[in-house]
Amino acid sequence: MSSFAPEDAIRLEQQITLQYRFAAGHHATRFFAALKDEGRILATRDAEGNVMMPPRPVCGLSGLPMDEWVEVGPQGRLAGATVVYVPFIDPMTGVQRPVPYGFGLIQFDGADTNIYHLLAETDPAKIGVGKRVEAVFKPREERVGSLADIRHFRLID
Amino acid sequence: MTAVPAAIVATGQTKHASRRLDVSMAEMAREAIDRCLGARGLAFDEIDAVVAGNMEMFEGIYLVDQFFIDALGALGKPLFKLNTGGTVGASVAVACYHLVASGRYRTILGVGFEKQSDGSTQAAITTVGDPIWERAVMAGAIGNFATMASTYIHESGVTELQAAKVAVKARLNACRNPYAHLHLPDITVEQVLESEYLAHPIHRLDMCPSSDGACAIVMAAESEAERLAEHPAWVHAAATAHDQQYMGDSPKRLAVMRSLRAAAAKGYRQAGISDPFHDFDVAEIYEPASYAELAMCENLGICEMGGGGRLIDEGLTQMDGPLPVNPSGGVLSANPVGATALIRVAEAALQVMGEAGDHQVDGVRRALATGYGGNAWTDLMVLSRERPS
Amino acid sequence: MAVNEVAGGTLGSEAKVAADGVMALLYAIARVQDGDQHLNLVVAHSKESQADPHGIELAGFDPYYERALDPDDTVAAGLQAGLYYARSGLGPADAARVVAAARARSEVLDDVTVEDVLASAPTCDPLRELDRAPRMDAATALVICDESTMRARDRSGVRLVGGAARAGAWWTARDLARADEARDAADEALALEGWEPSSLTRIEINAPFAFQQLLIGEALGLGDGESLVRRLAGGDGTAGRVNADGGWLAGSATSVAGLAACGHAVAELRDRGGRALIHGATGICAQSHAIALLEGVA
Repeated sequence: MSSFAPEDAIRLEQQITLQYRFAAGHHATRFFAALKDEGRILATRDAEGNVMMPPRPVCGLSGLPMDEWVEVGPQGRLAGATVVYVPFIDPMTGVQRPVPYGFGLIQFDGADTNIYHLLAETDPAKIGVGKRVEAVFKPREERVGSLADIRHFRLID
Repeated sequence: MTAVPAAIVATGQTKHASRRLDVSMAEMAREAIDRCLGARGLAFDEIDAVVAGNMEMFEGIYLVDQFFIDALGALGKPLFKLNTGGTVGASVAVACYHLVASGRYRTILGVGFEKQSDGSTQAAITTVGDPIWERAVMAGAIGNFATMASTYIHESGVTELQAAKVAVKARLNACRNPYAHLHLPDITVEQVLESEYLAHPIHRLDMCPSSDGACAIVMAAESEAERLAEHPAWVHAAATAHDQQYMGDSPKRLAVMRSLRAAAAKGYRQAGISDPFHDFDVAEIYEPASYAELAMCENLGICEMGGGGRLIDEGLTQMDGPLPVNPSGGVLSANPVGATALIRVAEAALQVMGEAGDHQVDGVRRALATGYGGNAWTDLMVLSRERPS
Repeated sequence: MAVNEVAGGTLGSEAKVAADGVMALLYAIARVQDGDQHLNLVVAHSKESQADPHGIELAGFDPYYERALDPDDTVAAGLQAGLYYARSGLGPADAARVVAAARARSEVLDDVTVEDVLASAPTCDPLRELDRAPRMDAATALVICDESTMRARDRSGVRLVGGAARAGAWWTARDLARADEARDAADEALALEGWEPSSLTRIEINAPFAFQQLLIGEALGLGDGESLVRRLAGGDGTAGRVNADGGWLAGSATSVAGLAACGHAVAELRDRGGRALIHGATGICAQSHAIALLEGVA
């Protein structure tokens, strides 16, 4: 039983800072090198023909190693799409991403999976499942080897 | 190797709220545990083991279970801490079941708890995104759900109005559940549709709240179960299915929810369910957003694929319908993430035990409970009044 | 999530236990014992190179009463070591012998001498850097199954007899110089099987600091004083060798060590038979303990 009023409750303020260094591994290293240096998007394929993006060592559906590298995109289709209105802190900058912004699931031509990414469109009437999109890359000198090297996806006819 | 029959015999919950400033996380968990054990006059020394679930990053406590040994009543006992994202509460119930069914333990306490107001939920959810592949472009839970909803709408033709009806059903049901976080007795579909878009097409009132809360269950073996409860909620199925690694891997996730379908197939086989709509008397489904409830009903075989809109339009899942879904108010009315999936199981158990009070559905013999979390993972249970043979 | 696909868990049954790998093994055993599953993969993995141990361990301390002092597991262990040495009469040189013996048995870490350990950088008195297992990246996987599956595959296996676990009190609320919960868990596990402790041919103790392995070894009834030290550091062929492959100090990681020790035990028991007790600890100052028992029929 509490014997104090909620407004008198003590709340302790703390900030936790955790530093990490993630080893990307050989799949991500190869993928991001191609993205950064050549503006190409790579995926991996197994013997059954499953094409997975992000690339990975094993396909969970078949259980087979993904030994073959293939190029996918840069065009694709929207598998899901939305316009976000609530501010959200960009985890990479610590700053709120300005709203509204388009956000969606993109299936690159040639891939069996989708990735989430930003869309260069903020009118919900213009986005929708099935619309064709294309990756817009940052200029070579701004690319660092991250999914954000793609600035966003733009709608194409 | 045969399973020892096991049943849920007691449950307890806190009054879920946006901020429980009056209690620490330990005190909050203990509130649910005391209600659970108190309901049956159980003493802590009658508990053989404890299983706990909580989102570690949410409150910024590493090895949170070790920190709460006293509150959990776990001193000197085996304590299993599970981490499976939002479905963890159901994973806890599944683990309680297996630990009893294996014959190793007779009476187990399962606890799920979350004090979201203590931490930064959105910051923690960011860590769900793979740091190398996904984190750079995340848009929080809402961006994720809205995108999934758009795929579901495309596949099923479900409308914003139909989703709003689900949102209203949940909050009106919650008014008969004293533990629910949101009590909105005057809610209407107009209010839902007029509430601002969080991310298109999800309105504010289409989305679950963020809650502080805890839930506890006791799972007991055969004779203990019969001694402790008049109508134990016997476990007839406990099924788990976790999907691939990255968030875009399941191409039509939510619309065609692979893990839910896989878990339902396993669970229905275990429990002898062939016609979910008729075989179940009540369902507690983990629906983080209104659209999700309809998509999940389709993927659970409660209605045909694409039939979610029809289900809500015809009132089939209302309290007075043939298969009430979420009489507790669901996730849409309370969402303390580490507890939420356990609340689904606990509410299903209350229905089978006949102890759901004002939101009791008449004549419940078989109940379905599902958990959702992580990258579209599912943990599913079927509870029944009949002891398994 | 990170290992679902490589572990073959896609759309299969998967759960994660946040503790030493022996706890995951105990849950996996229950899933086979009740007939739900016939063949299970138990995986433990940790990439300590990626993280800032001080920051993470600090987050494991009481936010209200302890964090303002900026502690981590090594600070707490330093206090525990002082208490244990005072009670037991053992000291840093004894822990150093355990470290040196473990390194000599290691396949991945270089040998160190007792002098190297005693000369290594002080971390938190009376502890020095080499008193603790180095932070590493490690993973281990075990396949467990029911007997009919084993026979159907025409394999031989090591019997997972069972186990027990005990959560301990918070580090400031118990006698840090003892490990009663380890003793109680081991007693329960052995009593369930009717095994005499003297029938054990292999014992694995998994805690990150060498002195903790001595402390827990004493709780498990392995002796005290010099006889205890020789059980861990001696390698003189006495029955019930402790950490025969070097254990955590020979190279492993948090969450992995206990399960890896099971793997080493399986390798020996499959060839030569015998009975193994595997211990794994979780939490500040080895707060909680899990025990698994294995038996090989040669």
